[in-house]
Amino acid sequence: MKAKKIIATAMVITMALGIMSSCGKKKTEVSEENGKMVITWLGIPWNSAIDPELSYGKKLIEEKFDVEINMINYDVEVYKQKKPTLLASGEIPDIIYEMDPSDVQTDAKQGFIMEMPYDMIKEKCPDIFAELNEEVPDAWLYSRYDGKNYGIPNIGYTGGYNAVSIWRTDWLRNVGIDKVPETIEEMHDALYKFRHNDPDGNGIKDTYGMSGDITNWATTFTDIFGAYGLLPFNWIEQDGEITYGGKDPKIKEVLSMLSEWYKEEIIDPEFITDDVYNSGMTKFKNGGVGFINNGGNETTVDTENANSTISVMKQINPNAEIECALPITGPDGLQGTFSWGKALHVNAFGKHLEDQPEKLEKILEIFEYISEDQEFAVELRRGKLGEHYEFIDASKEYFGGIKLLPPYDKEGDKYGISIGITGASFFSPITIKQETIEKYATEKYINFYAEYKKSELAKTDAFIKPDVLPSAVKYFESLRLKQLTYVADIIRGNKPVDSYDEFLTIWENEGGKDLEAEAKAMAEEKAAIYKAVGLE
Amino acid sequence: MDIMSKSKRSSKTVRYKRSLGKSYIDNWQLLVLFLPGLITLILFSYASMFGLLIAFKDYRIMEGVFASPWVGFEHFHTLFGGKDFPRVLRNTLVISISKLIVGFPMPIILALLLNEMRNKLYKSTIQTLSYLPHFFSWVTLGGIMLNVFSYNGPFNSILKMLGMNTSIDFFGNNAWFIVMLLVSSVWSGIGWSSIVYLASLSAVDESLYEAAMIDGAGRWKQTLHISIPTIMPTITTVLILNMGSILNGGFDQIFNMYNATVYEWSDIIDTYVYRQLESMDYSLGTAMGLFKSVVSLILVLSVNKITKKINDSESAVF
Repeated sequence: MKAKKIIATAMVITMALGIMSSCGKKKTEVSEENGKMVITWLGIPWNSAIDPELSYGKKLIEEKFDVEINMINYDVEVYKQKKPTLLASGEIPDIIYEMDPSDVQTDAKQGFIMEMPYDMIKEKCPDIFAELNEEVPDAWLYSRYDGKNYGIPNIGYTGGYNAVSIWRTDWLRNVGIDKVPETIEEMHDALYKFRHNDPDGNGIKDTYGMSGDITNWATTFTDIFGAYGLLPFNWIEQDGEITYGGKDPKIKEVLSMLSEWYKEEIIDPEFITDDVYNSGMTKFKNGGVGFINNGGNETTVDTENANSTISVMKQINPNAEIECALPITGPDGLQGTFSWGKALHVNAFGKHLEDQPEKLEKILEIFEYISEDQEFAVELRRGKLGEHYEFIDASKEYFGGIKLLPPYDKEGDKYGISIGITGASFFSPITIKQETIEKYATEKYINFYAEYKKSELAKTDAFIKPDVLPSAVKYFESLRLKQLTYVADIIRGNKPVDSYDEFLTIWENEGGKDLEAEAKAMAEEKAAIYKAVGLE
Repeated sequence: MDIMSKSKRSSKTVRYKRSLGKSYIDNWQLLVLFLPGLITLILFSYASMFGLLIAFKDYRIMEGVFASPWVGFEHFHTLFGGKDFPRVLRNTLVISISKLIVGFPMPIILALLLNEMRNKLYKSTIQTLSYLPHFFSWVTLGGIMLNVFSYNGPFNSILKMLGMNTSIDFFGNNAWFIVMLLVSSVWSGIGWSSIVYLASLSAVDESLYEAAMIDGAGRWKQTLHISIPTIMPTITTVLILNMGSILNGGFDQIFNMYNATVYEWSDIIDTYVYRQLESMDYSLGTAMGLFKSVVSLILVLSVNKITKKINDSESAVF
């Protein structure tokens, strides 16, 4: 009896102590462990499925550079919430993957990350420095705060292209059109018939021409605005001046056309809640609409791939046929869609590295090595030929595509082994370069890019991400939401086209002026950066 | 008489006091058991209160709460100074008050109905189903609502079969959108909130019902004169506590269901601040939290006072 009592008391005391101690616990500085340097890496959110115990890329770098990598993997959904908690606890990683320019600004302001002078990058990582200057110098804007540089931006080579549209070609045939529409008039004609001429032949008027997407400004009728040379939600350069694209008088012209289309029932009324990546795409696959501007990629029409758009559609309707297309052409021959551009994200460095130059040097050495040795960069993602993957057709080599070997075909995510090599690379800020992507690309990929992906049709913001401005959070988000409300209300016929002028007044009064002033300053800053990195 | 009772009471108090100190020693095990809860309460409810300071500071994590520079009421200026603030305050009040009016009686009605059920299996099935939605996130619930009530969705198809000519644009019309918010919040909350009422209904003395039956009261009269009066204190308590969250329009719910077309009437304080909140902008968030807490406190205190006056302090919380 007495023993029980003692045990109970002991338990209570330990619990109480546990609660108290966990609050005052201070994390030890990560530096040397079993002789090796430990690099803490708050990695890319899309890595979250990788098991650090199994990760092939981690093992490869650890062996090659005699370091230990401590991977912190947060899923992309929770990254933005968990990162501040981690930093606030004082446990600052050595490398922090920053998703947005505003994150760099916040972390720099809070003193979490260290300044990374251009000269240091130029000296330690000459290849990365040259590549950034050559491919996308505007990316330096991402890592800029208060006139200083705070990290190394990375490049997303696949970001510099237009979005690819998809058409239902069996529907086109059913309504008597034998070629994929290219101009706005042809598009209107086809979409009108998709609504009114029963393209699926089921005798019920249950199809629409297209839906839309106002959940995100980046995908809001971007191909149609693009056909008129407009970027309604971005900063654009006009006659050497920076101005907001939403102020262009031509926008009213497009809105009036779209509201006409809506009246003709071409646009699905559900466009207000659809989004092109999820519900809008599902609607297209289910045969609710016959056109979607987005989602076309090299596997879209690949019937051999069981997960491709066409395979999924064939399961729903065996007669379904689709074809990819370039963005629609406007009356003046213009075409294009908004594109996030080639600047991807920023790799920033924990402030404490200022006092640990040898560790910083090591990290930069690894980065530079991965950038220079592209075979190594590819191995980080794909593993070894014969061990992790093999050619589908040995005679065609990479041209014919590869397939992962077991167990990587099913559990590749855990090992960090994948077929795809585009997007952010493992560990290194510099992603796999364009020429390497092409070297390892399949025939399908190369042909698809040659036909449907044009860098000249990618319409980018003057600052790549419009929210790079300091007051963007304060004003921009609300202003854009109001702009979208006007756009949607005008298209739906709830408001006349001229009511768009009301938005322009709102823009002037509710912070737009401040944003414009900041945009002008940012343009000057851009010039200063160009000078600092040695570009003219 | 007065003097007697007073002296009696005081002597009692003294005795009690003496025994209180002794009882601490006698029951030290219980006190130790109580300790973790006390520490948790002090740490998380009282110690963290000094964090409210950051509402008046430009809080920098690395410098800490005390070293961060004071900014006075700047964050409150940002919060209230915006042109949109009157509108979002209006929306918050409209949405949460209508939620209270529509949503508050529903769980009581459900509890009373469930209480009348004879078949145990049927009752527990209904109960389980009714509080199932409470455990789903608003991403899921919002998705279901969007699908069922969309322009070409199942609900509109049924309406058409019943002879309606046009579809109702539930998510593209401000008034209908608020209806959607009410419907979905009742759906998600009804079962869960009814549990507390069911618990207090189960505590009603059976003999009261038996007596009423002998007096010839039917089901309805029994509910009216026995069930409702006995759970009245619970109802008042829940109402007072609900007043505290009047400025919470339901961020998750609205954020997962709204779109630009209904923004005029569905933008609430939380969504408004969310847009302005940079990551790690704890000061602005704290300022909003402080504002809401102050308003809640005033509401809770005043409703409590009113209840005390009406109900003779029987069902007031404190």
